[in-house]
Amino acid sequence: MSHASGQTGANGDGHHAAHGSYKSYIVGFILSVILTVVPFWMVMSDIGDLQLKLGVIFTFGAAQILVHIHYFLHVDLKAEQGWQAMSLIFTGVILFIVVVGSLWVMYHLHSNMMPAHFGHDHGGHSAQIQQDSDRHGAHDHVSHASENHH
Amino acid sequence: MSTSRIEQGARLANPERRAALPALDFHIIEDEHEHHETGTMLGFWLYLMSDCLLFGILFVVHAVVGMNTAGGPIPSEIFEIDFILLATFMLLFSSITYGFAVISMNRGHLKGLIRWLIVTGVFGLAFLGLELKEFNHLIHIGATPGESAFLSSFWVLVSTHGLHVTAGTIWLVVLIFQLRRHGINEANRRRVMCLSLFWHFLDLIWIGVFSFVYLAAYIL
Repeated sequence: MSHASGQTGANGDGHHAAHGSYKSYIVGFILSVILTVVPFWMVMSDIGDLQLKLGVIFTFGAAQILVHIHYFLHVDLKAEQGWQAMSLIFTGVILFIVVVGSLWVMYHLHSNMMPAHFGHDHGGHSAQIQQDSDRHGAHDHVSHASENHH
Repeated sequence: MSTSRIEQGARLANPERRAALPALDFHIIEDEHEHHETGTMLGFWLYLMSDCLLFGILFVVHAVVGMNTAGGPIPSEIFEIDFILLATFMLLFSSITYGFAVISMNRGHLKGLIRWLIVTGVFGLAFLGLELKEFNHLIHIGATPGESAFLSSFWVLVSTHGLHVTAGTIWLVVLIFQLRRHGINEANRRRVMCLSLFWHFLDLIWIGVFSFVYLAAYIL
């Protein structure tokens, strides 16, 4: 808000300053260009290791979303008596729950399901266990099963 | 409490005393942006937030099944990153030109407003053209939605965004005709501001698409 009113004087167009001036759009645009080009450049010319590239992609992406929200969407805490910011934060919380919850649950589901159903080696192994347990009894089965789990 | 109210009532009932009361002035405290018409703009904002949830769910689906390529094509084989960079810049240019359109409207320049909206529409169409070209390429090399879970969720997510941009472009054309006919009035001002939110929002969603769906998948 203080940012927007700071541009008011320079622009001489105080009434509409909340919707942005040329200056604020150009600042937002330049920031967006930098935040877009750097991750593309790193991927296209294969700079840095995988961790670094992933880190830059997601950090710069998140930063660019914030730049868009501030410079292009002009969300501020006081607009619409605060309901705009409030609904944005609420949406963010719901998205956080959906995204983190889904990934968490699905990751565990995946790692628990994978060996038994998909991997050919593991499938063979469990068939082996079945035969072993038939011959040597339940105790052997348990120890093999825990091996298989790891 | 009750006694004071009765006293007040008695004073109001008594015309001599009423004159002695200080004059009551009622002010409606106007919002700083009184042209903002809180109802429609807030309602449209809430629609965008629900759209945000829609895209959030599509992103989550892609995060969950995006690695399941089922022996079919993998991201680094089918994505052309320089092409995606070009499409990204089309959308980014259209965002800033829409911003210039809004500034023209706020200064009362109808011609400038329409001109910037046309430029925005051209960038939007360029983006859609590039996207259709990419889809065509993907179909050509056999990376169709039925190939794998990865491609199913990819097609749903990217084409949902593309459909939004298409809808926004149609809205833009209709708006240009309305502005030509009626000029900058209260209703058109509101429509321009709603489409502004929509257009910038689509660019914001695209940041997620190019970062997560294209770049991150390409290097994994």
